[in-house]
Amino acid sequence: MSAPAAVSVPERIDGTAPRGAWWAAFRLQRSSLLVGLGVLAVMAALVLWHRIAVLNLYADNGIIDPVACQAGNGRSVTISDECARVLGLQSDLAGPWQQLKTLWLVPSIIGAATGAALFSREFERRSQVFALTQSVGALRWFATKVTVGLVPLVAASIGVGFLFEWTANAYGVASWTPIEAPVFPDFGFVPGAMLLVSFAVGVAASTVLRQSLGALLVSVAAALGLLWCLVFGYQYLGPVERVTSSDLSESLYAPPPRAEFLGTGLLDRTGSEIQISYDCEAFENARGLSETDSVLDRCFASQGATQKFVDYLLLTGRAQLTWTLSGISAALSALFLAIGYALLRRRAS
Amino acid sequence: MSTMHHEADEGTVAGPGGSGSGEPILRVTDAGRKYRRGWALRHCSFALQPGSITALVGPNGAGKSTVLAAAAGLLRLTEGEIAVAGQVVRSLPAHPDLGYLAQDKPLYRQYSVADTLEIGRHLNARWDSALAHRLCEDAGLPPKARVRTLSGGQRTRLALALVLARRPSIVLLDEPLADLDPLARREVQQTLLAETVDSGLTVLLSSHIVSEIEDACDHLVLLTGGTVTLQGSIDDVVDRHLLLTGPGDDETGLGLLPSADIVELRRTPRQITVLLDGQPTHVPQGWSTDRPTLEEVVIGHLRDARSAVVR
Amino acid sequence: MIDFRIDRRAGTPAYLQIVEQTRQALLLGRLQVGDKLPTAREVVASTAINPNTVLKAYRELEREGLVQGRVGAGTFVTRGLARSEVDVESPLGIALDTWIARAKGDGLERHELEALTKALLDKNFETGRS
Repeated sequence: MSAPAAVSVPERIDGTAPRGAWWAAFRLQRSSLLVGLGVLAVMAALVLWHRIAVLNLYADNGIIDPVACQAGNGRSVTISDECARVLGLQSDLAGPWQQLKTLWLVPSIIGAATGAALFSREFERRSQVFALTQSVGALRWFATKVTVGLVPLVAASIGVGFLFEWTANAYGVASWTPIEAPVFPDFGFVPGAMLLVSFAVGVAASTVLRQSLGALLVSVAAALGLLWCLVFGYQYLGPVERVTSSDLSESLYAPPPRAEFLGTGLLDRTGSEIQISYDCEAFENARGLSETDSVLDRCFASQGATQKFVDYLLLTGRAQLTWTLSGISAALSALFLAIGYALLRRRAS
Repeated sequence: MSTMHHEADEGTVAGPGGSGSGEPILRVTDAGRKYRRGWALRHCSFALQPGSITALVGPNGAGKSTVLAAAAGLLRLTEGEIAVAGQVVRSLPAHPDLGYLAQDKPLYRQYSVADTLEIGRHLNARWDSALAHRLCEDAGLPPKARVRTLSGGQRTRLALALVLARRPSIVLLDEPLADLDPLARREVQQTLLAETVDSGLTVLLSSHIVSEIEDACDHLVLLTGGTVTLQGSIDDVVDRHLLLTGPGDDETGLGLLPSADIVELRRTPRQITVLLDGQPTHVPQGWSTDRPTLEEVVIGHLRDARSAVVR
Repeated sequence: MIDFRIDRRAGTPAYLQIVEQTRQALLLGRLQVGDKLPTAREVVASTAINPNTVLKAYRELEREGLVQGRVGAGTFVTRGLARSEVDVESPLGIALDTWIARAKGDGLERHELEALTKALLDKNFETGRS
């Protein structure tokens, strides 16, 4: 692809080979690319630093396998004294890192912001008329700009995603630990997929509104909406593992190693989930903390609950979920990019 | 002696004088473009011969920008077609031999003059770097200056350099002189026309002011209400018309003139002035004849078109 | 080399202005046989008129036998119009110069002198150009 200009006249009076639309698109997007990649690099550095700090903490306390410290089989967990001590220390360390998992917002926001700027600024200055009256066709120019703006950022955020996954796997995933460790929306291809779809939404917004501030606000809002759908919806898309107790008195704790804790609840006799109320008469008569558990069980039982359950996402299931989500993202992105191209072509002049 | 690129033989430069010779470089056939408000262009047809410099004249909203943008492939026609060098314009990129400059001279404003030339070089399959640099140098554009800091005249000259460096054989310029001060206006015309001599470039430039571009052009296309109402070489168009002046009460004399040919009729108590498109079989007694100026012809036709709409 | 001036307000077409200015330069000896006329590019670059207007003017001058275009070289003056009488150094020129000096000495302004000479020229050349 060394001569992207679309016309068939190869003659160049100045004699140099054209690096073409790729060069021009890169030149025009260089600064926004650098900002986006810079933010992702900072994000990667934070995750890496976190990983090193936590693993050092375990190593300094003579624990070789941190995963074993907090992983159960879904029913019970045995925590050694060393592990309990380190988990306590980890809790102290976690303080400033509590919000680490909210970093999953970052790739989407980068995608929405760069996508929204891609054509809205051209429309504002009408420079699309300049670009489209050179030897580059509308589709080629659109595709080149999108590719140049998107590929480095998607690649970088996939890299960050795998860094997150690698970090999370190093000390087990379960998010009920004192550390707010990275969770699914940070893992593997997911940040890349979310950046892709946010970028595509941004591009569509930039050609619909043709105004950069409006496009930015709309696409950031849309990207956050999509993320909300992902965060609350991914467990319905993936192969969720469920462990149920034999009766209400059995305790359920940690998920298996490298699984992500999703949630817990109660089942009735027929095995369907029920919503329960804590407004029980039994509480009135409870004497002290030691009785609370049995009082709670009685309270639940009075509302028809017979079993407890714990849901979690296994490592194996995560890959399948990732592919499903990536596919949905790719399809949505294709749709939004098609809207963007159609409007760019239609509003070329 | 100033810079001379080609000592062109004055006598043999292909002028549009040999009209009707060969394939037109631009042919607009029954072009129409409909917007929600209505037709911006309708049944518009004209053709340009290679080497001609044509003024596309018409009031604001006559469809000048629409037909130029359609020829550049930027917008699609609702009906009819436009062919550049025999090839029908269907989509972007425009024909490689066609250069187009929009009225607001769009450029990437945040970049320097040098960067802008680089962007132009990379976005084009054919690019005359030497010409681009010479035109910028002639315009006194500092290579490091940001485009947004340039004056209107400088920006126009940079935009023109980018258009000409593509070495087109036809350029379409949408109101290139609007918003320019008189000096910049003249310099832009000088640059454009000088390049025309060297390359035999065909030029179509629009304006709503005839006198602004009259001297620069040899052909005229008059557009009113989206339709061509007058076209041809400026000499022919002017020669075809006759300005007759007669006494204010000479209705019989007026009756002798072919009424179908009357473009414009103005009366004062003392005098009747008639612009005639054609020659009368004979001039009524007591009437005098004059050769109208191009501006008088154009204004006459514009008034005629406007009153036709009112009727 | 001569420089053409195009007066847009004059009723005369631009090509005729070039023809007349060339003729005048020939008459006054500012252009002589063998001199080169500016190229169309040069005229266009200085006056911003249509190149074909320049070519038309040069064709007209060629038709009158005053100039000749040579392929690849330019347009050259082939016939002068200057007569020895039309020269400030000629006896008539010197006499006129002395007369003007006298008129100036008598306090006549330039525009008064121009009006006077024009009136006398009109009287002596009844079929002057309108």
